[in-house]
Order: sequence, then C-alpha cells, then structure tokens
Amino acid sequence: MYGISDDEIAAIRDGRFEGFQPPEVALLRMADALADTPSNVSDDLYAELRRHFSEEQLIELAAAAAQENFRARYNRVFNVGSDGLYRKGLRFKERTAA
Amino acid sequence: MVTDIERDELKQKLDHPKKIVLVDALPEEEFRKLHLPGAINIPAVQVQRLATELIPNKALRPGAVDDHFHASDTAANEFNANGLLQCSSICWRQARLAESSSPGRQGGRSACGSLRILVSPTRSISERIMARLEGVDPNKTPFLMRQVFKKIRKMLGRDLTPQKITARVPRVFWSLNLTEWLLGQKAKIPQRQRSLIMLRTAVRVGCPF
Repeated sequence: MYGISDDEIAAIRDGRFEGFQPPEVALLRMADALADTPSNVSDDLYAELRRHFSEEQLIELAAAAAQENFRARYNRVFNVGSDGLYRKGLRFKERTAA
Repeated sequence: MVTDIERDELKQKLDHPKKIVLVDALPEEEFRKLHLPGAINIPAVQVQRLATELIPNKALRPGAVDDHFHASDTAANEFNANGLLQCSSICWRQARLAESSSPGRQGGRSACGSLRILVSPTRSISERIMARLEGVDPNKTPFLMRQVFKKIRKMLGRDLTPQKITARVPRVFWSLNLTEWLLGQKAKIPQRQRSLIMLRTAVRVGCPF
C-alpha cells in the first residue's frame, strides 16, 4: 500500500492509532467519524484537523473520505469481495503530492 | 486475541487424526485460482453468515489462511468473537504445504512457490459466495471504456470486479471513474494520507480489498 507498512495496516484495521503522527491520527479519526451514521465531525476534531491542514487540503481530504465511503458501501450492495489488491509485504511506489 | 501459527504447526494439525477445518479467507476468485489442499472458502467478511452453515460440527477446529489485508486475522477474530470455534491464522507464504498437497495441477504463482492447485471439491461453496451481480467482459465494452480497463489493468495487474459490474450501466461507470480520476489529479495532499483515509474507511464499512 502507498507508503504504509503491513504493521500500520494491521494497526488501522484494529483502530490502534497511537503509532501515527498527530496529523495522521486526525485523518484516521475523521475517517471514523465519516464512516459513522449519523456522520458528525465534532468541533474539537475539526479544530484538530485545521491545526494540521489548510482549508483547501481539508476539502480534498474530505472528498477522498466521502469517495471511499461511496465506493465501499456501493460494493456491499453487490457483495463484492476482495480483488486481492493487498498482500502482506506488497509495496507500491509512493506518489508524491503535486 | 488471535494467535498466529507457523507452517510446521499447521501441517502437524492437518496430519493429526483429530481433524481441523482449514478455512481459506481468500476472496472467491483468488480461492478458485489457488488455495491450500482441502481448504474450504469463507471470505473474512462472511464468517458470521457462512461458518455455522459450512462447519456445522463444532468439534472441528478451524485454522484460517490468507494474507489479503490480514484477512486471516479478521476471519480468525470473527470465529473467536462469535464463539464459533477456536481459530488461529496463518498467511499464505508461511503456509507452503507442498508436501501435503493433494493431487492436482502444479501451482504457478510465484509468491506461493511450490504450492499445488487443488481442483476444489468445494467449488459449489465458492459459487454460493460470489458477488451478487456478474460484471461485463472488459474486452466487449466500448472503446473508451476499454481504455479505462486497460489502464487499471496496467496499474494493478487485474480487472476490478466493481468496475466490471458498474460497466453494465455506462453512466454510473463514467461518473464514478471520472470523479476518482479528477480527485487524484494534482492532489495537494500526499498519497499516504489519502491511503490512510481509504484504508480506515474500507475497514469501517467492511469492504475487503
């Protein structure tokens, strides 16, 4: 996965965020908040996000989270399983931000 | 807490007269291509639904096998959390069991080395847990759509099931693909951060990949 180790992926799966940097923890918490129903990002979490990201960056990050919710939920309707994109030890070349 | 088991321990369990059930948590398509000899297929996300049906005898103890998104851990957790059976997990590469393989074609996937393909006696089980809709054949789609499939195949080495399904309604196919493409263009955030969000969201929604 893009620059994310197997151990980090396991931590994300288990909801163990303590090993991540503060900006990343804020993003993971945002992803959690958006996956909830009802979906609420608290004022505290938004303030934390703003400490680390510009408004424009947050627009992009929120869109990425919303898009993934769309895609993941869409797949559940049709009971789509894994296409095997991830395997332990598999590495993708990390793309840098433009 | 799920415990990992090593290859030798798994082999020992498989050879032991007190049988274990080898549950392969691979997605159905991957399972059809290759799996450990004698394994039955219960993808991690479907443990709750299928386990009691497919492993009715609780005296049997399952081990879960897979390395997709740590799916063996997920499957084993599900087994244990639901009090279905005690379960350990092991990943494919640790589980090379060439010497215990049943007769079948020789496997060809490099990651799995000398594993053999077992022509599955549990194919009917696999078929029951396929996606609910069949996707299109990418080679039979219109020219522009074929280019999208071609690009993704080049990037990921395979056609993606959701895209093949979505392609049945071109308007939906294009809206999803164009949105994704535009969001990825000149993004001012590192790919790692986008990936963290995607991974956590997929975990929370229960969408395997």
